[in-house]
Amino acid sequence: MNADLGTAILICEDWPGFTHVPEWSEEDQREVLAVPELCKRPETVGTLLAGRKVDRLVLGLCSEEAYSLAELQPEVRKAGLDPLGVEIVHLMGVGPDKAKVLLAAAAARALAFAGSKPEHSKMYKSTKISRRSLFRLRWTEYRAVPSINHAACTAGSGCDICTRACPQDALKWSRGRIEYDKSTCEPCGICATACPRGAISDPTTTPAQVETQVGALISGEDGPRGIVYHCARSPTPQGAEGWMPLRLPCVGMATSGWMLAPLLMGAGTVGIQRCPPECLAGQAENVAETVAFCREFLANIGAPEDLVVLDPDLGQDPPLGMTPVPMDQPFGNEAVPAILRGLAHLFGADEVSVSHERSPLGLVKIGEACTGCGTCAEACPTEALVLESGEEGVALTFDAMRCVACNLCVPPCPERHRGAIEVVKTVDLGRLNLGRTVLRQEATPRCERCGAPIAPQAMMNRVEELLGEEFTSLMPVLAKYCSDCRVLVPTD
Amino acid sequence: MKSYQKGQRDEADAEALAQLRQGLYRFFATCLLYPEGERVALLADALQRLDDRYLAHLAFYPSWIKLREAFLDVSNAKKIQGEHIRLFSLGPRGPVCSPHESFYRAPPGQRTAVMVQLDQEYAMMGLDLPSDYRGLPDHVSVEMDAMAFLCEREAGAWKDAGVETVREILREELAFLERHLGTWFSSFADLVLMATKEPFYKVVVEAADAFLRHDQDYLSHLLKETRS
Repeated sequence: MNADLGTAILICEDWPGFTHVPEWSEEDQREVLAVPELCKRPETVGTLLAGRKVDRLVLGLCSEEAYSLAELQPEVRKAGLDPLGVEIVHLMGVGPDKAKVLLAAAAARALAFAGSKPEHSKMYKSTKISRRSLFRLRWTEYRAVPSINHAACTAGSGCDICTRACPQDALKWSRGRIEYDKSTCEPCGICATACPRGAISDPTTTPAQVETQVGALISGEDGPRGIVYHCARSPTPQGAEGWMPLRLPCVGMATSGWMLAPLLMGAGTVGIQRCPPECLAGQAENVAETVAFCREFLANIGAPEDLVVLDPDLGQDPPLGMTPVPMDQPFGNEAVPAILRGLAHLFGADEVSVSHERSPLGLVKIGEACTGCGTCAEACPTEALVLESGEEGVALTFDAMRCVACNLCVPPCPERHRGAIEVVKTVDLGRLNLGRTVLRQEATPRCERCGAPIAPQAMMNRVEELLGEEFTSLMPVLAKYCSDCRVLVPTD
Repeated sequence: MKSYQKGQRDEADAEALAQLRQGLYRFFATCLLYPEGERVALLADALQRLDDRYLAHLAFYPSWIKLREAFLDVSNAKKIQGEHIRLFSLGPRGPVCSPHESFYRAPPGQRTAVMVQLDQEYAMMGLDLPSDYRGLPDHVSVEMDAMAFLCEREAGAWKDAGVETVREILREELAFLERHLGTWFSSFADLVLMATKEPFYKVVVEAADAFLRHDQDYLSHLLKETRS
């Protein structure tokens, strides 16, 4: 092994294809080592890596139950590596050609691992103390859990999208802050992909890592490739050579963007293996609905809807993919509009509109009852709605590219019951192309005394309406002076 | 301290693990005291004695490795002595990075309340600050030492008492972390990281911060797992 090696790929010699390992090293100029009894003796890892300059590790194991992470992780730590960044590829039943791709993709994903912090670790299954085993503790293993970047979080303006998405109630909105209970969390990553601000991250499944891995899995010129997302709690799916498994903490975290982006990157099909029925996260229905949206979108743009498949038949190779379309960070939440537009453009359907309960995008409709107060814009976590103030008045503007149909803008609206605001779950490509548009414009009368804006005219009208005939004497004052000057002006 | 036996790869001796944590708390407590020559030598010795094979099972181990490497470079104790004074003792408006809990948790003028509370808690544990101790009860090293004391009691309980007694002490440890060290140490560590010019104190607070966070997790986990 080279002393300056960056990524080490260690493969168990009990895997029948290990004889190809020396060839791979020559072809890729990357050291790949076949290691005797790697699946049985985790200490081999520590011994092999001791004193080496390795900062990433991929293990190719031939048994899914080789040993517990509790046994492996100390060995990895001794080598100075972060155990959460180690990629494990299960090679049982996998042929050499496919194994080579899977290992290269795992290495790419490992390279995209940016490291973890103490808050990213959660201890798992160790001690079950009975009277007989009172004095012995089983070592714990650590798994990655998400963390919240409170500086980027908009809980302060009421956003609670992550708490609604969390299947374990590990996230709670409390006084404008998201409280995270690590002990309740069974890491599924759903909160991370649900957050439109990217304020929650699981260091082991970041958009950058998934993008890198997908890219490596479908690159190459040796036949069709399909991506099949599967849950980390399920066994790695086996199937035809062209199907490339990609493990997620929970398939419920795969957004429609994650399901469609690989198609633009050149995948022939994207499959999602549904959660097993006993899944704690209970995401089977959500996953099916997200797939249903993708298929409806594909059908609407004139593409074969089975480019995205729930529980695909892995016995058959997927079809050949499209020519890859270069995209910037396709797995980030903000890339969804670009993915949808990119796919629609390929099929010549640039103006399609698709309404669906699981639509990742939405449209805000503003009714006549809107007073231009801007509380909706304050609540919007993505700045899709913005209240712009100018000399003439205020303008409520909307950018369909940013709207995630979260509906957070509706509850704070004081005129919602009069139809002032509505969110529809629709991908409207025509609207996406328009950019930011003005939904409502209101002139703002100025204070006769100091010249400051008083309030949008529609709001003044509404106030007058609410005051009714009983308080008619108030209105002339309200209409002439701002709130500061009103108290200074003598009234009758 | 008990040592790690062959064939026990997936099991730890509960008593030895508590002893290890006791050693770690005492080690970090000493690291943040003034680095007299003798103290630095003691720390270097302790570093060797703390059981490496057990340690690697704890998630903060990568920070520990960095700390171990940093100790190899502490050839000039004078250099870190100067830095200790600059960071933790001197300054026109107090130390650059106050090592006292009350600085982070109470407004000026109300800091005594934190110290009184700590004094009471130490007394409840059966601890009393030595009469020749000239520092304050909310100094980071005193709090770390109190945790070391609780870990020592835990180790004894694993050996001699029942699981309920163990759980009681674990609860006490967790509560102390949640009420005190766990609430302010990260802010203290952040200040040190921003202010220090010495890699030594950087790795010390990084490792201690990682250890404290993981220890809180460990205690919660252990309490959950030992529920009857």
